[in-house]
Order: sequence, then C-alpha cells, then structure tokens
Amino acid sequence: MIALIMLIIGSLMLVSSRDLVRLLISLEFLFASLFLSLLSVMNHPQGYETLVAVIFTSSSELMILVAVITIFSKMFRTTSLEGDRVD
Amino acid sequence: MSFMPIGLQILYVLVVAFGIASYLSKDNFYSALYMCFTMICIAGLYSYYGIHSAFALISLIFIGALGAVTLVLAYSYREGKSIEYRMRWIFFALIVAVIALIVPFTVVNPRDYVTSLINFEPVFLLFSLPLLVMIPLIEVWRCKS
Repeated sequence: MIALIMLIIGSLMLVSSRDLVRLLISLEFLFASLFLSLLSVMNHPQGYETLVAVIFTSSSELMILVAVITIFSKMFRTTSLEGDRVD
Repeated sequence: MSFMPIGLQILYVLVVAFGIASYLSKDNFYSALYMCFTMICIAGLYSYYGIHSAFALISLIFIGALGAVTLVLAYSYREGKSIEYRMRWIFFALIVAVIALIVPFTVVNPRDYVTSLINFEPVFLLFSLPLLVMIPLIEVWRCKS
C-alpha cells in the first residue's frame, strides 16, 4: 500500500517535472517504491540478493542520469527543460 | 486487523509525509532534502526488520552518493536567493550523532554493545550514519553561501 502511494507520488512528480533535477528526484521516488515492495520478499531465500541487485542497478541508472544532467547543465547553464536561462 | 508496532507505523507515516512534502515543494533543493529523509525512513524500515546491511547500502548509496549529488545539483541551479547558512545545524547534527553513540551504552551492557558492534547490530549507530554523511553536505552548502 505504502509502495503504491510512493509510486503514485513518483509518477505524478515525473509527469509534472519541468526540470532535470526534479526528474532525478522522481526517479529516486520510483526506486523507493521498489525498495518498499521488496520488503515483502525478504523472507524468501533469494530476497537479499534481489535487493542488492536492485540497489546497484538502480543506482547505476541514476548515476547515468546524473552524468546527463551534468553535461546538460555545462552546455546550457541550466537544468530547466523550458529553455529559460538560470545563473 | 493485524497488529503493527508503533515504531513501524511512525516510519510508514514519515515515508508518506516526506514523499508528499517533496512533491508539493516548489524548490528543488527542499524537494531533494525531503527525498533524502524519505530514503532514510525507508532504510530505517529495513533496519527495523533486522536487515542492517540493506540500511547501510541504501544510506550510503541513495543518501551519501545520489542524494548528495542531487542536493548539490539542486542548490547549484537554484532559482531565487541563496539559503543563509546557520552554524547551529552543524551543532544539532553533532549532538544527535553523539547521543546516538552514547544511548546504546546506557541501555545495554557495554560488553554486549561491543559484541553488537562487531555483529553490526545497533540501530542507533546506524541512524547516526546518514547524519554524519550529511555534515559534509552542509559544508558544501556553507562554501556555496
């Protein structure tokens, strides 16, 4: 239930984001919902291995997005997706 | 209706509250800050169920690395005026970290505490970890200000 609420919050933030940093935060919320849903499979013998795999996969994906944001912000001096310049 | 411990209920409420706060906040910096708190609470849930290594992984990767980068990015490209740095927050973080280190000594036998340190047990010590990770962030914040 809480995982579903976090999924809804992350999805709403993802849809309404006009900024790359907000996009990153929304993705982290989506992964947070994944962590919450993984709590229920921790009794399974391979639950912990699944959790570790999910943590490293999701963090790698987010790091790629961080690299994209860094390159984008170096090129355009902003993280906004609306084209306005922020210094 | 199944019984849920009060500590667990508080953690779940905090997760949802910080999530909603992060969504509603217009400022990316505060949104990232609330996201970090949400992640601390989710890691706390794993710690509550006794999976302390998951707590360490989530707190180090999603708060220490990604949360830190998100906070710094959000602050670097922040619209509006810069946030005023206040020294008292460093003291607050240090006081909480010291209390987190001292409390286990008062509630358990010191010998058991050392044994529990080796077995990676104390929850209080684990909760002080994100706070100690956040201190360099506040330093970055101070330098930027």
